Amino acid sequence: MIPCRDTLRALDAYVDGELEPSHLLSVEQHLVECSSCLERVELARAMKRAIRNEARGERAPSSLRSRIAIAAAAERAIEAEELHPRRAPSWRSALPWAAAASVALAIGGGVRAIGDHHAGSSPKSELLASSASIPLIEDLAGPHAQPLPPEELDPARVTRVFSPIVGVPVRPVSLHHERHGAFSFTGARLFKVQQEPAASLSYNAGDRRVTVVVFDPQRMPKASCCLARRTINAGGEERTVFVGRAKGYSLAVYERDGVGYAVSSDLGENEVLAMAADL
Amino acid sequence: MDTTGERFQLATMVLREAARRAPDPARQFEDNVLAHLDGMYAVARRLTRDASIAEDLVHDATIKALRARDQFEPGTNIKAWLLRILTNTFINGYRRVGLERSTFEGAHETGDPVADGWISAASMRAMREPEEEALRPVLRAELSRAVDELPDEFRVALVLCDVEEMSYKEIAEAMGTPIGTVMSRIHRARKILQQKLQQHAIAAGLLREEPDEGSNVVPLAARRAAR
Ligand SMILES: [Zn+2]
Repeated sequence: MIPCRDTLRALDAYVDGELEPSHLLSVEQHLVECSSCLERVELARAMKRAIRNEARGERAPSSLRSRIAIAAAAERAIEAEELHPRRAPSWRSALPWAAAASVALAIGGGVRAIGDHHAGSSPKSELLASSASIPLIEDLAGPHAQPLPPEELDPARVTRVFSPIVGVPVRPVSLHHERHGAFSFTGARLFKVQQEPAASLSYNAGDRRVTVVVFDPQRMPKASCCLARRTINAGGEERTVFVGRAKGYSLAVYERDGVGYAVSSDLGENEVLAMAADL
Repeated sequence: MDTTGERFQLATMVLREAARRAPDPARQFEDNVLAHLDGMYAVARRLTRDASIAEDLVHDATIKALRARDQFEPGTNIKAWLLRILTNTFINGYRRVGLERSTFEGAHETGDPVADGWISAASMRAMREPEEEALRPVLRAELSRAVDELPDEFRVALVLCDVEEMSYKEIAEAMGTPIGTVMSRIHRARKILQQKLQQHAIAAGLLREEPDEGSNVVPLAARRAAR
């Protein structure tokens, strides 16, 4: 009889159906004679079956399906545009419309600060609600706290692909900090805030990171109770910004022209605030 | 006026129009890819140990796959190809995120996988349902937890092997390692899982630990029967 020691290494391959025919016979012969190795095989099979059964119960959530369907459609549209630049529809055609919507909002409320309640906007669109608000700021700080690889590196493609999905123009802009200098854009990806699509744009300068989340405030149901309200001067106009900390990072949230921005960074709150003024 | 709804509708219309005009091969390929979302998600869920990170991983891998359409050889196994992209995406971008606790390179490859952690035949039998090939129900949840706790490189190999029944060769390609490494990772992974199950079985009273050497674990059922 072949010693167990010589068979042990082959048992996994045997269980996985990977054993070469030449080896198969001697292993099967050993299993007939050795109850110990037979038990080993049976246990490995039982474990394999249990792992498979549990994993196979997993179904891709419908939110993931729709997110991928939208992204896939965007991929196809880009491809069509690249192949037939004239005939195919352009994302740009969707953007002026979004811009027009922003203008309408601005007329409705002046430069509408985040959370300012004004006539005509539904309560749903109000950013600064009182309750159940933590998930929102946690979501907004999420991409900074847990950075994932970018989906898009090209700023033009970010605007073209992400804008129709997020529902507002998504434009990587230049970021500057008086001490750390220029932050360079390192890529963008889509994620979800309260089940709605949003874009996160990553920047860095040396080992300093800044993440700007762009979202459609009209789609976000909840608010930021735990942030302090500040009024800052942004290029001559007053802007209301909500500042605080989430997930261990400084966070500044504000709305401009119907577009929501959340700036998070490992820099201090005042520095984030200054960046928000620059954006 | 519901501007959000309208805006969203417009975007959807643009997408639909784009879809209608898109060339057929792209569409077909997309359908083929999307048919495997459940499988990809099941693997991603086990690899990442987190539902929302799993979604991000599947999303990224799917988009990569769609962009790499030209690199897919028609007639070959598309699921294996997708899982290779998923595995690559996980290895190269996702392991730093969250709960990882091991490096991919080496560390766990050492040690004699054969010599350590000997478990007696009787103990192994006691961990299964009597006369059945299934694991005892009390051990199934523990197994799932133990898989989550495996070092990344072991977990990836085992999940691709057990959940998706990929061949060692396919796993080796997906992980960028020699087949021998895949075999030893799977062997090592199962060894660790068996030991954890054994400990849990003892804690749950399925097995009793005995102080002396060798076959030191005797199933309670067997002892009761012997009485
Ligand atoms: Zn044996």
